[in-house]
Amino acid sequence: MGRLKMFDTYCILYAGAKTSEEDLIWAHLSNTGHKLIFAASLAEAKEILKSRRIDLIYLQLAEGGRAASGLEEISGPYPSAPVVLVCPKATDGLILEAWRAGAADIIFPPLTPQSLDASIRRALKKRPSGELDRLAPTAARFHYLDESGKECRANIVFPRFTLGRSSANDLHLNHSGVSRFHAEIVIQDGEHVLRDMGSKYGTFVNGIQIAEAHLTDGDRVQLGSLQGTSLVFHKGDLLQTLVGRSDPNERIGLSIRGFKEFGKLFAAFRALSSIPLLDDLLALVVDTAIELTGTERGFIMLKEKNGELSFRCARNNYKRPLDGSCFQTSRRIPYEVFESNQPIVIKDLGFGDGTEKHDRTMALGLRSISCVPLRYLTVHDTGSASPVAQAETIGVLYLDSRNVGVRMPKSRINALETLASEAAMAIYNARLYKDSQDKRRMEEQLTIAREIQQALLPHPYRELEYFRACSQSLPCYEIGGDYFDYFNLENGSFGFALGDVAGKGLPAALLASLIQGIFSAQKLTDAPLAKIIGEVNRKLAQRGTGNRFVTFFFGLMDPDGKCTYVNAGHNPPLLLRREGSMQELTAGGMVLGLFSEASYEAGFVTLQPEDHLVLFTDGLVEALNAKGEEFGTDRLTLLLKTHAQSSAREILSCLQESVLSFSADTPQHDDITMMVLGYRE
Amino acid sequence: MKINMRTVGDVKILDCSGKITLGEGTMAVRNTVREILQSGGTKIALNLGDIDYIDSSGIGELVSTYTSVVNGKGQLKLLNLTKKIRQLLAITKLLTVFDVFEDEEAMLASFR
Repeated sequence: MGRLKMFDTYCILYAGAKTSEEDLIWAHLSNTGHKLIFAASLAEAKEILKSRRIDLIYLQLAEGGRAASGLEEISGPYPSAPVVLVCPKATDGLILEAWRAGAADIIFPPLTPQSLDASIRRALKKRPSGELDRLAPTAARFHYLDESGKECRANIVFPRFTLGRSSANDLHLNHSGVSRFHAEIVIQDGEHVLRDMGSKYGTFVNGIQIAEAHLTDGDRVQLGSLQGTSLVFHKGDLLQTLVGRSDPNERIGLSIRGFKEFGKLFAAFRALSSIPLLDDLLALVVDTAIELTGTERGFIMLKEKNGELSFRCARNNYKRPLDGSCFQTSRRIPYEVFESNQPIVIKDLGFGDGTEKHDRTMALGLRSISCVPLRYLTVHDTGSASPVAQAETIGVLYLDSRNVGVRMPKSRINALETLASEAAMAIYNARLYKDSQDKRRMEEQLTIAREIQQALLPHPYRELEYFRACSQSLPCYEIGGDYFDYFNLENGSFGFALGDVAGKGLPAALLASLIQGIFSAQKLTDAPLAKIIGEVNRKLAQRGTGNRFVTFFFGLMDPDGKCTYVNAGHNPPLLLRREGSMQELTAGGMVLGLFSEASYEAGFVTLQPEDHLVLFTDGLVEALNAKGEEFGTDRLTLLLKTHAQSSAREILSCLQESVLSFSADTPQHDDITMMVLGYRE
Repeated sequence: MKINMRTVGDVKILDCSGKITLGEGTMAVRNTVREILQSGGTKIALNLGDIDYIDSSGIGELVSTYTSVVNGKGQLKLLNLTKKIRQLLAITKLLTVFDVFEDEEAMLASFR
């Protein structure tokens, strides 16, 4: 980055500087030869502006300050000098607001000598080399026709761009005479320099063989022979090209400049990797297009999935959105432009050839129409043939007026097309951005869902005087369909529940929460357990959860060791006696949620001190190892037998370890939940 | 999952093979049965002898297939349950919901 030359010195007004930064600003700006005046407030700055000529204004915004009001106040409707906003925080909203309010540049703390220098250059339109400019739309490109005669565009990338037959080149041309690595383009002092890289048949610029040449706009480059493809060099960003080409007598400079500024800002948005402002961008494109063409209304129409064009943005020539979602426009012309990819500009529908086919449009009172395709181009290197420019037309930019239009020189139609292609690119980018955002939002919601689910589950350990319960849930995805709960009943009993919703992930988790909700709403002491479960089943089945069902086990433990339970289609829990014998708890009925008239019966067992109940979901016994074998009930019962005299916690951790080591090499394919309860252990 | 349909008299037998799991094949059973019902068939049998894997979603699908057949005034019978399906239907206590046969002749006879 070149330093400012000593004679580029300006009179700079700095309003609202922070005390902490004054020294740096002062030191740097005075050392580089500028005249610096500090103003403590906006009012003071305005006084200074009245009394002397200022080249550049820095306006420091306070935290939460509004860019628009500050700018308005300091420069009024007719800015006397460009204003650089110094914003406390880099937010998209602020950048956009600053741009709308007409700021020449915007910088963010911490201020550095470099950022100050760069902002002076940018604001005073010195040779641009700041960050924004580097990111600005492509500096130069080649236009050429591919083998099938299709128009292609290759952006010349910085700092080095290579051409040749090898697919390793930036532009890959598969013609006879083209060497594998034929030529390169580098930037020297801001100029594009084309160099032959020792090619066999030479490199030509405008028909003359060269070893090295500075390229200028419109130069024709050919590789290998004068019969080969002509690459036409275009320099300057698209917007500069527009400015350069536009007729100086036409009063379109302002809008183009506005758009140019926007281009830079848009690049800045891209740099901040956020394009949240598609609507703003489209509105700007339409406004600019209306100004360019002098028409009354402008629309962006995008192709929908069904192939129809629908309105995406509708504006009038007062830079205001048009109300409504349906507008009376020509039907035929947008579709014609969309199909043919060719612009149509009709300055008087009632004059010239084919007027009769526009009768219906004329009947709407419309006289002139301009319509260009929204088209974006990307150059792909397919590795085999020459680079393929993929063009996609995503809609049209349509403008109309009730008046007879002005003559549209080719340059203006070109400008319109460029505008449309920038808009198309922006829409395309915004769509990509939205896709990735949707995905991120989904992930965020999943995380929240997991947190909620975790919060709904009780603490996995619970101890009563006569009872100890511990549980462990290992969901297969972020969240799962297994569910467990504990209940301390008023009569001193302890309730415990374990459920498994068919399926996995979010849908299963939602249903698990529903059951938990229904269950919490039941008063567990009011009715026999079997009746309560029947009621829960009916409520679930009535909600119509389709073919999703829940296997469920509910137990009620009394202090004296008597346990009443209902097993609704759940893998039978095991009553593990202290001496190692086991009993399955199977009494109950069918799974919950399928048949509303299903009935349930309760089972009864009595626990002796140091007996355990082991509950689990099918994910445990169906856990697979690398050979595709199931963990199985045999392995489970053997394991329990050897741990019959351990504590509930020990049994749980040994189950967990053993299933995890069993299936160590295979991804978990179902949620696994286990619960172990110890009676007077 | 693959479904092969044969007709024996007025009974449609769907020979199913492969997996019945979440998202895999469950729609196929449902759609085939719906088509049979729409074309006026009422006697349907699912031959599950060649199903090598079924999970709880697959069981759910069997139940909803059963429900839709019954609602369509038809009859659904299951033929040749694998050990795994039988076990799952036993645990979930859904075995009693279905009319289950090990023998095709007996199954056909039950429709008469």
